[in-house]
Amino acid sequence: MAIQPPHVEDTSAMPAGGINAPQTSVIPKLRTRDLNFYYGSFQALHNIGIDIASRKITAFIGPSGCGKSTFLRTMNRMNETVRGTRYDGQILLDGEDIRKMDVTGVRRRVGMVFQKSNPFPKTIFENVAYGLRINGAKKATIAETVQRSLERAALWTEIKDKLHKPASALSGGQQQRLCIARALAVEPEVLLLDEPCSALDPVATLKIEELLFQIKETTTIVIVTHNMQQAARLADHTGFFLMGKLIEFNDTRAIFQNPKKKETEDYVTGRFG
Amino acid sequence: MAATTSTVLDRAPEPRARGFWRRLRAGEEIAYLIALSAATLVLLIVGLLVYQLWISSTLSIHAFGFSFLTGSTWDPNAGQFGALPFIYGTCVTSALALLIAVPLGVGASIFLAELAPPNASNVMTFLIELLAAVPSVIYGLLGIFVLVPLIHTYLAPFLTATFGFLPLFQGTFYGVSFLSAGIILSIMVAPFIISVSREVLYAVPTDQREAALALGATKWEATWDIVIPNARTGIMGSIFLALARALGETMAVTMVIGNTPAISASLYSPGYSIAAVIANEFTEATGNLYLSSLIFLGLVLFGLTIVINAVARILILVTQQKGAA
Amino acid sequence: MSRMNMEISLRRRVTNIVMLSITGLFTLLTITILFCILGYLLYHGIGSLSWSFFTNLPKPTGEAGGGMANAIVGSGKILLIATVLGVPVGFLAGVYLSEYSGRTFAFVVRYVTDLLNGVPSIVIGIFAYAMVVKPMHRFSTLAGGIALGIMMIPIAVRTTEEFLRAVPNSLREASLALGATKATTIFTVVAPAAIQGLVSGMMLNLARVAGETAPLLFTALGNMFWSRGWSQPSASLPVMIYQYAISPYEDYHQQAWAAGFVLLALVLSINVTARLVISGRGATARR
Repeated sequence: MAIQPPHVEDTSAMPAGGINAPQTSVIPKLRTRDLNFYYGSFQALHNIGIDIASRKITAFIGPSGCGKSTFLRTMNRMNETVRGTRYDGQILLDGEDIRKMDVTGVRRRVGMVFQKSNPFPKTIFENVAYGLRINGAKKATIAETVQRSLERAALWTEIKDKLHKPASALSGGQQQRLCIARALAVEPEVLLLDEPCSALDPVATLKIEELLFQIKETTTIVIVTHNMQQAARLADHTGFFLMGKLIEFNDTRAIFQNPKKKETEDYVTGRFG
Repeated sequence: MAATTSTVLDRAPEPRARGFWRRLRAGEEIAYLIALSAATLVLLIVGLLVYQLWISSTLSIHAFGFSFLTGSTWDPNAGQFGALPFIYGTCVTSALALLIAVPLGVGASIFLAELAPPNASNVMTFLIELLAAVPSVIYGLLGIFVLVPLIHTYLAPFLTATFGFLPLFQGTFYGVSFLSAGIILSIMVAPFIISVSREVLYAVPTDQREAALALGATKWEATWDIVIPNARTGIMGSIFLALARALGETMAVTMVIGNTPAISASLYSPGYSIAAVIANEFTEATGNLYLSSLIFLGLVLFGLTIVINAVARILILVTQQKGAA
Repeated sequence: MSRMNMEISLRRRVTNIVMLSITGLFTLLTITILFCILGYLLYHGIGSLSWSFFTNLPKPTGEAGGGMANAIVGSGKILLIATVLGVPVGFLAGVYLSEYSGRTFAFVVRYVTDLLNGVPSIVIGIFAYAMVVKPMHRFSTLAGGIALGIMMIPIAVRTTEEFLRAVPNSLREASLALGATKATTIFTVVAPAAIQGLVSGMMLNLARVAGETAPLLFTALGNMFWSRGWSQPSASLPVMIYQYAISPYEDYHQQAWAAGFVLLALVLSINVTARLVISGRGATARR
């Protein structure tokens, strides 16, 4: 259904279809080219071309309905579960078109944390272990990996005595960190976060931000947020979306201090709308 | 509007204490009282139903007491009435029905809720719900003339050949049997499981599916490991609802179970169910004890279905509220 | 952990496809059963159907040209009584639940209504026997009608409540703001707004009890002749199907197929029409 451009051996040599963040020395982990996305006849994304740097935090900001969440959800093909959607263009993970890969494998490698925490109706332990079990991890290693993931999510000390209690017993912030631990357990190469702190109080938000800083050492992080301070605090690179278009993408400092586009400036200075 | 104004003026000077009678004259209180008494009538009918069942079966209750439920002799001529063969038949056929209908129904509801496009799902559910509207006497008719011969020619020989070592499938298959009744019942109750389970599955939040898929689960893994546990209580509710239907089902069972008060391990042997014996013998019951014993059976059936229905409703209610929260 | 299979294993792939296909197969199987039922009845029923089926009385086996005219009329009479009794009581109780309900009492009424809905039909038959047949010392059309009428009440209550609740509150407020009393509002504004759903719901309700056999076995009993008046035993279509089906005679079996076809055609056509009307009114009403 999509129009595929002719296969190019060296994708980095391809002329950029969009705006590249200025980190030329690093090979981008994820890149998109001419990405258009449609809900039925409504076009939600227009010609998105972007390079997402490996082991950095990339943030997307913009008013609600601007397409930033839609964009995030195309990167692990989650939008394919929504009926009536389609897209064309390319999404490359390590230079390989994710549409040519097995969808389950893509989602294993590109993990996701959702806006609202969504623990499974299982115990805390089983929540984290689930991804390991389905991916065929050895029984002996599961307990160890669960512990390591909970430690990385800074949750271990709080809950190590109630591992076998239902996850629903945790507080909102803890549930969201549990969801992060669950996503980390399968060791994704990229972690997508869709406004992960929007339902949390400042203390819980801070904990999650600290956590993302640590994860960044091993994992590429892409976060969608409507909280500009959060993007400014966290991200190495920031992209601004408006009406389904990627208006500007640059170093975070440049976006906030020296935006090149008028729309970006209006938005980050709060003059928008 | 002029009329309204004048009425208001007419009413205005009346003392407050007469408000009830004034509204009564205006039809207001009458309407309320009529609606209230209709609601009360419903309670009254159910109360009367329980009372009548109890009163009419006292003779048998006094004569046999608890041993009515454990006695296995049903001999109207000797005045011996034991309900065990009927209770056994009811339980065996209902269990068999669930054994077939639960995988079938839950499987189909998964397809309808998780896989089929909404429009196709609605059309198929519509058709399946029509199955639930087919009168039970029609199921009985088809049972006698179509299903029983089919089982006799194809299914029974297969079962004997494959599982013949089990006591369940030993003996000769004549047609009317626990097996036939169980299969007919499963067809009758499956639509209930499907339509309720589908609604329950729809109520599971999408983010649960997405969370599982985002971890690299396949569609089936996400459904089986995550969506089904979320919907577990509601699906149990639909199964209990189906069980209550199966226990109380009369005509289709009566027509294919064989109507022989016997307890046999083999599903091939003819049996009897509570509802079937009431249907068959009620008009022929000579003597008060006989009739009273049949009504006692009705009371037992009533109690059984009430309890199971109550459980079903509580389970469904719990999931719906969880889904809404 | 990247030692974990990068690619999804064959076993998981196969399980996924096999299990999902099985669920589709089960759906197909269930729907096939419906078409088998329809097909069989059509095949046997149409063949056995003739004009005399609708106009003649049953004849002894072996004699040609028997019909079920008395059973058709009998069913009609029984259903008429059932509707006259069940619908008004159920409707008014539904109005109470939707429009006047307090907390506790409404909960009790709703709970008991559901309970009555779950009572096996044969038990309703016993009840009608004890309440009507025994005091009158005879089986009768009336007793059969009362049994089915009781069976109609719970669905009538819940249908009414559901459809009245679906009427937007603004409509009630508009009427009250014009100075109408609550009762006037309910019966001239709210109920008419829901009339399509109410009528469809009641038709579904009627279709459901039209096929009921068990409660008629020892209330209306059966009759090979015309039933005079309302206090005589009466034939009915479902009971005739039952009696003919379990008889050993081939020509009776043919009549049973014909009657089954007529009954099913009636029940299903009411069902399809009513459901289409209801779903046409939008999802709000169905929920």
